[in-house]
Amino acid sequence: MLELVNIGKQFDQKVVLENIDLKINTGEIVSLLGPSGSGKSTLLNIILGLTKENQGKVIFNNTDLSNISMKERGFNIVFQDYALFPHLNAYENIVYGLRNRKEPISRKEVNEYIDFLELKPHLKKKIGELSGGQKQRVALARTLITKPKLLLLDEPLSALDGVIKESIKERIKLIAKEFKLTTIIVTHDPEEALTISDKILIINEGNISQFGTPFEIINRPSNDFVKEFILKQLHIKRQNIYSLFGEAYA
Amino acid sequence: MIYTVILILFAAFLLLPLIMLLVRSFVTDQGVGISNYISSLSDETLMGAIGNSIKVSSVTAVFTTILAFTLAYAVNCTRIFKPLKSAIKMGIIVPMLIPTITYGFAIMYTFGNQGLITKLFGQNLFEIYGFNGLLIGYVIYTLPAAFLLINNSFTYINKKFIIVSKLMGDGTLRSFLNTIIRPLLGSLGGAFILSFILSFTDFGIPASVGGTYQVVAMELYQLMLGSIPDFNIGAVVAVLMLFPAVIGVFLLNYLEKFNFHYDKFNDTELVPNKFRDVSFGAISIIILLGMFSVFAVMFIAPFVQGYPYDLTFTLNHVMDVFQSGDLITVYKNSLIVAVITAVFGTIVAYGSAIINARTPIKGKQVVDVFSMITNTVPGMVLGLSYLLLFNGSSLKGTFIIIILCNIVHYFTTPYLMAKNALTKMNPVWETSGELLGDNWLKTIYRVILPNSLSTVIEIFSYFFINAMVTISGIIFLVTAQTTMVASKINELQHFAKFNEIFVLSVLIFLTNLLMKTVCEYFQKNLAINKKGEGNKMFKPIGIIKKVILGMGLVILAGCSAQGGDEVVIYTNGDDEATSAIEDALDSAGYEGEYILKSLGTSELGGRLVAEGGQIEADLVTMSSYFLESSQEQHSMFEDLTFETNALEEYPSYYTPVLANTGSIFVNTEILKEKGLEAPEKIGDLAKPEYEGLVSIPDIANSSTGWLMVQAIISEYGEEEGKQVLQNLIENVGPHLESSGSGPISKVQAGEVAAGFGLRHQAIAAKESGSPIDFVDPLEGNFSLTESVAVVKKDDEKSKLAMEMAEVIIKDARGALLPYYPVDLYEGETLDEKHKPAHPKNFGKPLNVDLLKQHQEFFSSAK
Repeated sequence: MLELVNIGKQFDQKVVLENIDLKINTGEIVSLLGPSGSGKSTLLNIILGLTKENQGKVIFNNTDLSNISMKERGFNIVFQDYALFPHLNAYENIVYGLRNRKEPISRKEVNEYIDFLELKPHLKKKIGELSGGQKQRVALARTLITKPKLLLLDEPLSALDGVIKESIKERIKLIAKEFKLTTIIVTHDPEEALTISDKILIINEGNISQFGTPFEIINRPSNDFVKEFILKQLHIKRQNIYSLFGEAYA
Repeated sequence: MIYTVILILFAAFLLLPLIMLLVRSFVTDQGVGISNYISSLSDETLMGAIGNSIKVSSVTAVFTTILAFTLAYAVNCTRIFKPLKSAIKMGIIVPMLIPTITYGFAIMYTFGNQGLITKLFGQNLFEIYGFNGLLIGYVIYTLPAAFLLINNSFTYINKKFIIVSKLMGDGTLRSFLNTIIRPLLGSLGGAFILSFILSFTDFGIPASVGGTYQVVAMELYQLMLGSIPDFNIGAVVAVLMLFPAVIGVFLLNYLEKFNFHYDKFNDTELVPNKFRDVSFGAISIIILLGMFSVFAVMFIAPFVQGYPYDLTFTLNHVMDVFQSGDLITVYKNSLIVAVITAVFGTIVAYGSAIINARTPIKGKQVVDVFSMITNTVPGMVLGLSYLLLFNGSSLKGTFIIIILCNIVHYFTTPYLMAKNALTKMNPVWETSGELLGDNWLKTIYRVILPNSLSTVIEIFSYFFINAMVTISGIIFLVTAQTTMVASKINELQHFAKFNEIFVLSVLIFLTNLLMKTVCEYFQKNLAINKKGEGNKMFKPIGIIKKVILGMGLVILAGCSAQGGDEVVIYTNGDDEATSAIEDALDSAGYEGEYILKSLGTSELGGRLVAEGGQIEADLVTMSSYFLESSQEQHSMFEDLTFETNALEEYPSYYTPVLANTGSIFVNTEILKEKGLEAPEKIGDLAKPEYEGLVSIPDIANSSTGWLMVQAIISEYGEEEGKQVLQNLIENVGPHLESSGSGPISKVQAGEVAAGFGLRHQAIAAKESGSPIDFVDPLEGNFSLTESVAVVKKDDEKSKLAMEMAEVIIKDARGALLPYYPVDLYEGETLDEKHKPAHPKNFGKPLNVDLLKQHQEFFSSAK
């Protein structure tokens, strides 16, 4: 279980996060949802260990991670732009971290990840030759192969279009289920958060606005921000779809 | 740790030398004060030189900016034939591959009286010595840099704006101003300032084609290495030289705000316009041909018997260079320095950029400050500050100091290239690498380096090429054991050895071209590899490993090349003298045990006075009066331990090697062409019909000039003599040479009809088949002795040097007498045909005091 206790962060004089308390159970998918500048990426970086919190604690399976470096935490992340290494091909990117592992991973296991993410036909391609969805899957494979204790995804769907987006969403859900992997996703898209997550943490101006299941968010919004910013977007989208296709498509 | 190393490097080799320079500029005989500045600022010659530099650099900057813009416009905004665009882009870099000092000689052989272009047009287009020659040289020198700057900015111009402007109804001029000139304003200003700074601080071009047009770089050189060096005033000039460069760099930063930054743009078809394409195509071809025609001579002269008179093809000159151990060693020195500079320069520039662009280290911006300072400090100023700081240290006279100077001098551009490339890279790669188990260094090696390899290769090539061609930075730092090709060219010009100069230049050009081609091949492969187009994988890290291994071998070879056990001989002797000395020493079994370095009289004199017993040389052959004054100041020579049997009595620490005799010489073909009678005396050269057709050496820099002044004073007396000299100097115009060999090279090249210089050089030229004849002037053939002396060093080398001095006196005289026909030792007999017709001696002892009096006499006649 991941526990955030009273996390606070300031950059220079500006407060970015305040009093963040949160508990995430093993195997859950949790989205951090909020507008740009709300502090969600900072929170993700604090969990990862990339950014040091000014106050509070990050506790994972009863261990305080405050003084544990990013590398030693055993978490991993897929960045928004995937951060794949362009001088290596897809396969070389996937196995990049293997030489640094203490416990070796068998070729069979590597192939299982590759098959699971349907990357076999693309292994020899250079990064520049891959589509957005393929890049996303290579980045996922490269991260999963290191067997992280916690998977962090920074805006994983923002660079993808329609159908690919849905397929990756399904893939992420499957990963969490298959590997029993706690997954934290940063997104600014309410629809994305509500359709992929077990729970959603809505952040506004560095504070928790609401934390709950998609059902609770939709049916019991805790404040005006959730109503106005989060739910209104969904209403507008729904209206657009109605006007195009009629009620039958709702 | 990398950060600390870089901080120490720049503190020790940039800040400290500059502080030393600044301090030195305030040191006077009476202590510390501003009197050096006061006397410098009220020195008309110096202020004139600064004014000249500003004038010629400004005009250069205007021409260069216009030409560079025209070429860049042709490449980016016209639909001219694509191969022509490629030719412009490739051709423009040619000057960057050649030392600037070569430009001057190429200009002389192209636009001079007997030059390629002059022959084509049938007449002299203009006077090339001085302003015009400098202008042509500087424009060629600065054009590539200005073009690259403007051309790069052109690629960021959104060409859709041109179409929008047309659609909005703009006329040609308004459209041009709004869519081309306005977005490029910053870059055009940048190109202007860059050209100005480069011209203002260059040494190579004025050293070869400056004539009597004094510019600040030459002024600094003469102050530091002239006949009477003044380090403190030199430091003042260096500080003054910094000012325009500092202002220029600030202006460049200011101009940055005029640049347009477009985030997204794509290629757009240009509007067809035949007139535009034809005119810009034609102009581009003319510019390129003009540039190439200047360099053409460099590729022709070494392959003909005697340019411009005998154009029969020969490989003799090239073979001579390859057979000359001295020249090949110099080439090897340049290669070693260039390779080591490139390796360590790349590490320093790339490491600094990594620190700035890819780490959160506090205070990392200090690297930007270093970069700005190195951008501001001209090479000559940096070299001079090293000379002042490290003169007494063990770094003096090593390759290391030259390499460090090169790295610091050329730091800015590679650093900015690397910083630019590294900043553009994905900022989370290090985090990704760390999450995948790499430490920071490993990520740099496995991810960052391979992805910036193209930039690394470009940086390597930049350092290599610049280290091969530079002269400004190293001219104060080279010694006999560390001579570079560019500084060797500076030496060779004293002997008018243009064939060797051009062969060496071609060698540098081909080496740089090879390096450029290899680097571009690797870069191209990297690009293909990134796109995934190559069948085979291009393994960049493997290549880096191999390159580092190869470089290691070269570095090892370089270190072993330093040796240092040889006796170093400094000589101001001419070619014939050095050959005779070398032959004598080699025959006596000393081959490989000595290094002989030729220097101009004033330069060697300057070093003797400035460095005293700390001079690198163990043995010196030099004008006797200079040896006397050096001994008086420093007591730096040992008493000779062998019997000389000289006809006259000389001080115990030197004995003459030869006596130089002055004479008039003429180019018989030019005399015929101009319908002139051959002169009989120096006075004849002062007659009006010789206006613009005479060349003489300047007594301020050349002892040969003194022979002429002695003849004039002893024949005409001071009063009448001054009038003769005045008329003569008027006739001479721009052909007043700082080197004693200058006049003979001018006469040989057909630039002038007659000159005054060393008699033996005229004999040699005549015997080589050139249309040269010599005339012993009725005023008299005056002579000056050059003597050998052993520097007190109290080591094994001094003993060996003493043995060599004896060999030179006993064995070389036979070969020297035909060229320098003055009997100095018992038993010497002279060949009648080589005997000067009117040998004379000046009535007073020839010492530095008399030289100064005669210099003042000469100066008053100017």
